[in-house]
Amino acid sequence: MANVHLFPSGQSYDCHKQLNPSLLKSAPIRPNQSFYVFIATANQDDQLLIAQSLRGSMPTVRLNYAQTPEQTLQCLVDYTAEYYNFPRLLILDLEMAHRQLAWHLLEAIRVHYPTLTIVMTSLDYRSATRRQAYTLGAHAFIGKSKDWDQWKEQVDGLAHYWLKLAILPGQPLF
Amino acid sequence: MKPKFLILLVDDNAQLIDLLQRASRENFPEASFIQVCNTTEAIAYIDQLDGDGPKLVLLDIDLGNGKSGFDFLTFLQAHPEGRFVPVVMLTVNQVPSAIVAAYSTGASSFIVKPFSFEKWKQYFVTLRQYWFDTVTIAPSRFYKRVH
Repeated sequence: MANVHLFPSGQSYDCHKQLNPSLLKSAPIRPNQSFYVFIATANQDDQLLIAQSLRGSMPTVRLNYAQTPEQTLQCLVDYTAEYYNFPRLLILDLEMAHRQLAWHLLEAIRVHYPTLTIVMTSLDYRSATRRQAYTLGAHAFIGKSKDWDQWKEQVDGLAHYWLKLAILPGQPLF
Repeated sequence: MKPKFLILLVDDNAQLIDLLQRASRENFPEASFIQVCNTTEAIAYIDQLDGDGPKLVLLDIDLGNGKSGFDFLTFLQAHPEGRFVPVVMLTVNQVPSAIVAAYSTGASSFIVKPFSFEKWKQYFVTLRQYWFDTVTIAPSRFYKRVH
């Protein structure tokens, strides 16, 4: 296992913690008609945008958040024992940590959580970066546009595809 | 003008490609299709590629003749370039074990087959939005392989 999973002694992280809770739309959650999506990014604007877009496609979607590799792994460990709370989709930003650590995180997640679907995002979408992401197990790689409106369209495309069309493993069938 | 987006369709329903071509005409005009009907043909198709390959594979699970879509998925995942081509598994039902197996074997996503022409048209709106406009597919370059 990667050496990326430990918090400094005594610290913990609340996976449900939102950076800007007052800005995010809320919706009633109906049991058995939703699932968790895990947003792992250090970029607060991206976190907000992705959350809003996901809720636009599925108002009952439940969200986990992490800002560092350590928090990401901690959250996954915490939810391993709770089948219905375990996220079905992870949106993982490559810029969350320095490059080697981020690759290490992706690799560790794929090894330990083989059925978790991972969409990786990055501002760096050079060929080598894309191939590395797919080689290490990302199910999709999204090269983030530097244009905010285009990036929003990409996020909407991601949300619509995964929440309205594709079937995720472990997703409640309703 | 954006380049053509080649989709490899692996499905034993020989009429499906005609339906897909018609359904995608409006909503995914960049898409072009090539169909093979079973795993053997699919492997032969990949092996004869020299240069660019498909950008996406639509793979039916039940291919009829003894081998399933999982056999081709396994082949593709072991292929040095084929493993970079996203594979969307298509099926008519949502058996949980098949969904888990598909993702575990390397499928990029799992989708229930649309059941009407209109649904296929809507399907191509979303497919285009995601795989053509949103996702950045890894570059791959195939070389002809002789067994």
